[in-house]
Amino acid sequence: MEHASAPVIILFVLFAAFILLQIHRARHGAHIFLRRIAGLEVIDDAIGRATEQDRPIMFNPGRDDLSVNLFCSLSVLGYVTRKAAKLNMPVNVPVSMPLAYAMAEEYWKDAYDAMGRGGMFAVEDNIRYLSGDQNAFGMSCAGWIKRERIGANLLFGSYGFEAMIIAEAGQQAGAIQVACTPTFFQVPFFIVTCDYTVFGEEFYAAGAYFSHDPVLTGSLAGQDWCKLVVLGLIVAGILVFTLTQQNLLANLLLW
Amino acid sequence: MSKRGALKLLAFLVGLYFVLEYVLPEKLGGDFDSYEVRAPAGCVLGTNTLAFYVGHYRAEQCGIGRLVQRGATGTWTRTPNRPVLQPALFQAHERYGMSQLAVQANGTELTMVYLGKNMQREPVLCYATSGDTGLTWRRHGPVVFSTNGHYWSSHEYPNGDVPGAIQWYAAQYHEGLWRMALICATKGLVLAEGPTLTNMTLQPTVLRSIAQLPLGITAFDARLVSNQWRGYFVAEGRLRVQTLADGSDLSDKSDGSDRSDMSDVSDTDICAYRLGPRADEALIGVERAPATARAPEQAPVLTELYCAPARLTNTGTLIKSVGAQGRPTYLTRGIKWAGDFTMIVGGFAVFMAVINLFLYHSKRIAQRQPGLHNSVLFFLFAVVMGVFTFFGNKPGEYGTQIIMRAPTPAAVALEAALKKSMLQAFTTLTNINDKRVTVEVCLQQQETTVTGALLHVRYIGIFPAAQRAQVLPQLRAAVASQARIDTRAVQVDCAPDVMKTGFDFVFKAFLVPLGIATFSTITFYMISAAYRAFKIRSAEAVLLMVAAFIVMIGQLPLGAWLTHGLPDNVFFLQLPWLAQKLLMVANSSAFRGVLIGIMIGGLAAGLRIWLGMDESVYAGLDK
Repeated sequence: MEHASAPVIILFVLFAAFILLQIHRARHGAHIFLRRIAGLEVIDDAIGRATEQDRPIMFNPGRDDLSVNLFCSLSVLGYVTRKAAKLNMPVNVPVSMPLAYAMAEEYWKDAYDAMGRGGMFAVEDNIRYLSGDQNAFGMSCAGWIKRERIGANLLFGSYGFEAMIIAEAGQQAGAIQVACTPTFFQVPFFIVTCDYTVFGEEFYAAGAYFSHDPVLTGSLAGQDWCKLVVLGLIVAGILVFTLTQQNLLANLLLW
Repeated sequence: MSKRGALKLLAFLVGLYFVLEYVLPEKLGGDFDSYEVRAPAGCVLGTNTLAFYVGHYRAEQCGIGRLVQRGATGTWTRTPNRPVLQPALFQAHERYGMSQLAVQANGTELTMVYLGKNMQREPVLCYATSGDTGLTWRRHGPVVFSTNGHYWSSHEYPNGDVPGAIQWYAAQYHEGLWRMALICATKGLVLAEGPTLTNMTLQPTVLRSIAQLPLGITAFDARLVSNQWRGYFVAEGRLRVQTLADGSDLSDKSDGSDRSDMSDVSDTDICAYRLGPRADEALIGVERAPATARAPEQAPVLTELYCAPARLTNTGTLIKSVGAQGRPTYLTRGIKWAGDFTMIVGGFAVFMAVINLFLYHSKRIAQRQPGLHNSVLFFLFAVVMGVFTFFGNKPGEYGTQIIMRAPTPAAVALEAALKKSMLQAFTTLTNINDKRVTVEVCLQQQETTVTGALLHVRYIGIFPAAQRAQVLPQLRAAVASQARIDTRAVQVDCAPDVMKTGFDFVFKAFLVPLGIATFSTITFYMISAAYRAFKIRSAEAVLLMVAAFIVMIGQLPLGAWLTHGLPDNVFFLQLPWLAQKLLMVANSSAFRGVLIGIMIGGLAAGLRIWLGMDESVYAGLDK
């Protein structure tokens, strides 16, 4: 496997220190400003609109296997399911990865139980392992969306080319669609098919945005510090290279 | 300790293991070439002879090492003890390694051509130069080939117009001109020449197709002798010397090959061959199966480099074997345990997911829900695929196989000879990879003498009678001649392998076409989506439209044709140039900005989960 070089280890420790420091500050009551993200704010409205139309909600956790991305998607699934449970609405969850299935089921059941709606909807009808194959997964989701006339289609996590199939099916079904993905290459497809698209690091901020948990908001502030360091390195690299015509910084980072 | 606390502790310990695995090397110390040594190439510079080779520290971590021989007969020493050139984080064309070196000296300047492995692990021919006898190198990027005089290296095709992925190559610099012979995948052997390596013109026709080249090439080099290319192919364990133009044989031996007479190196062990450093010499790379079991931190094969006569007529000199091993750490063995653990957990998860599928579809059938025929089909195909997979897809049974019964020493020798004869028999008919055949050879023996043989030929798919009539007598004759028995004593029984054919059929006739059809629907979705996106309603939409137009038309030959007449001082108005700049500068910088954010976001989320701070991860534990 690939191993970290010395500068990567140093940056890892530095970034971890920034994040933990900010979490510590947030836990002790420091105010941390969270920028408004339209794509995430609209999720409550999407659930409400689907309820008014009596059309089910679909939450798609993407094609992530056991990974940080999956945990981030599932934390939003918990929020969406609790909201839907309060309104006695089913949340349909198509799953592509076996490990994600086992975890999504736990999140789903836990949210309904927490709202006192445990047993209201059958698990096997609402959380379905479809296929690990991209084609089969995309087409199954599209079929599900059209058959059930999904009212709100929430696409979180990583996607491949099946993103287009799923999102276009939602568009044709007239569902309000929100996509939130760290997969950069699918962003253009989401932008043209979904009502709201959130991408990049905001995907990781979604959990914090809904829960306002100091741990999550603190880590967001820590990320900003990390980005400042990266920005500083980029500017320093440009300056050093421009002034000396020697790629000193790159050589240092490769060491 | 509560259930939640115990799980947090477990998650922390597992996370700590993976962090340590990433941060610490799996072995401490050792030479940079302690795993493998491969791909030697050399040249003479003044009184010294130089050789360069690819040394591996791990499977995909390598660097180029430098060996020096003082005088013509001195010993080879590695100088310096560090790699003189190695793949780096920012070198996309060689991110995952380097191989097949070729070194040419021009005065005091050295030029090294090498085959890099890019981010997609595809081969990219690159070069570097050195002015200090190979101690430091300056990269110049990909070698650029062209067929029409228009030299263009794009991100997707760094080597320009090469007709296929470069498998093997030979390079020679002579009288101000670079000449190259390339063996490209699916096409064959093509020649190129040019004044510089970024300005190489390919000959318009393929000199020799893949079918006209020796079968099973494991190493290749060529040299221009009297204005005629002479090719040195190491194929099927033999060195074959041929003229590249027509394949006529130039070997010294009567059997058409220059068989190696190196006493301690088997023919089949040669995995690299490069002419030089001196005339009538070659540097060869040898790969051997180890006699004893290897530790996980060691390469599965033993590799060595030799300097031998070009025709491999004697052993030559060992110039480099693998360097000193590092000290293994506890993580060396732990990596395998962690992998096994993940696989077991994944296996249980698959089981749960399959149960979910069965529950859902059986409920639909039991309740006679609309569309239950889909559920019936699901069960039908589950059974069909299960049976075909279990009986027809045993691991490792791909390609042409020969299974020998009665494994006596005679049968072992026969197996190798028979396999070669079979390969030749099938190659005359069709592409061997498409003709998957298992031949079970049952030898009838009386004590140590073979008296007869029974061949069970089991094939996958269609094997027409005309082809059978051509191949089966050849197989019979091959067995008879190799086992030294009468042809009439060899019986052949030929039939399709039902299970393997069924497995193949389900894939090729159902899954692949369905997958392609699904993928094709994206085209229609894209058109409707593009229509929505390109409706000019705002300044951003105008910008998007203009950028998309330039990028799309700039990638087409039409774009190059439209602006090819512009003078050189306004090159920035050429559509291909603009399209590349938009893609590689504007788009890449935005992409990298987003990527940095994603990586830092991922790091923060991972840290929270690892340290048990993110309570949302432990959903359902307090029930």
